[in-house]
Amino acid sequence: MRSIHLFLLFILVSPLLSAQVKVEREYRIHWREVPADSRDWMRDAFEGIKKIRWYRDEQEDAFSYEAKLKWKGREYSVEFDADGRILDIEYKIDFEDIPVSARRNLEEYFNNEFRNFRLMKVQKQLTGDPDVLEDFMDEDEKDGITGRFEIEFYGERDDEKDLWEGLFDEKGEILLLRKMVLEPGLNLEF
Amino acid sequence: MKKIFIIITLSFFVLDSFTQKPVWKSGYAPELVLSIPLKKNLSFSSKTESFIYYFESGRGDDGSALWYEGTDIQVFINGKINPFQRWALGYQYGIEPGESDSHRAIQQYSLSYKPGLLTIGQRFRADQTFQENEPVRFRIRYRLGIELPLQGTSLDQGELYLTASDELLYAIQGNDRKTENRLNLQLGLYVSKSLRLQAGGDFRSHFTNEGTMHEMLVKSGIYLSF
Repeated sequence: MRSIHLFLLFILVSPLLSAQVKVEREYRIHWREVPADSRDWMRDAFEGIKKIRWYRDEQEDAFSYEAKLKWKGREYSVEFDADGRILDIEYKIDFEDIPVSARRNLEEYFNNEFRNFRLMKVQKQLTGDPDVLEDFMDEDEKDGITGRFEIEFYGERDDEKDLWEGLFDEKGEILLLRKMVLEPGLNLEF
Repeated sequence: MKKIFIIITLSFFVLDSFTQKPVWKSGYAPELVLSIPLKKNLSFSSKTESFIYYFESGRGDDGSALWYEGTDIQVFINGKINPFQRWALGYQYGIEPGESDSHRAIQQYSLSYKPGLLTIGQRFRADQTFQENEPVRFRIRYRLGIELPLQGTSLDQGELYLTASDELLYAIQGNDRKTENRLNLQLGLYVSKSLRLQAGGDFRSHFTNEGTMHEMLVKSGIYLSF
């Protein structure tokens, strides 16, 4: 019985302990908590959209807003800064959707850098002026848009077998590479 | 694979309805799990779980009381094959009042992946239990588990999550055969990278030559990773 009391006490106290540490977290929010500029931009770009899931993404000393939605068969993620100004648009694509010349560069990169690899998720990332991005969404106008590819993949090299996230420019040249962590909870193993 | 798993699980309950009146037991099983990294891709972990019961019916002496049925202390060496696959070799020391202590060797292979929101984990385990004056008990086990963040698309510090699993077990001991199903549902709090807390329930069904027994266990767990 004493252990039950101790555990309940632990559950009550632990959020207080965690609140003292600055953390990075992303959590669901109501649309009313989102800056009006972000909501307006979404309404103009995705005309007629009814269901948008909003999230607040908190980093060490900043935060942003993220809208997730399905639009014309694609999954989109749109990120806004704390003032509600659009930062980027991301949507899932197939590797085969990437233009041939960029695809060739990407394949060359993976083959040169990794002895074995498997693509997990490919996303197109678009950045640019808010009006230009809006024109792209509703009129497919590509001028002024910077396109990149964000690719999550499993890769083996040297003595590393890891999950990676790579950011590539429109030509398929690597811009950024970072390791991703998939640590299943101990609860799933023991 | 999932369809087979569901059919086998459901068939246990159907078979149960044709057998004699089952035994029901209720109890509480707190557990403490800790994990310590040793070197790259290798870690040590331990799990201590106790069983305290407060209700039993179906054996003729129905009623409530509070009795202790033992503690299992497990230690493991774990290896990471790649981000998705792991192995573990373990030993369990079992203490049960009125019984001689038991010793168990454990071999485990687990898989995990994260298709979107869910983290899915599969665990394949074999174990052999040695106890004085008893034939060796051999078991094979398969568990399918999920973890779902409840406050966003990823699990971050201070957030709640839901974890559920179902495990099938098959045991051979001398001439005895036993199948068991363990359904588990728990609510968890991801306090920090090194601490998780969980509380929920475990519904266990044992099917033996002698009959059926169902156990409803209230579970709570503290998971520490250093």
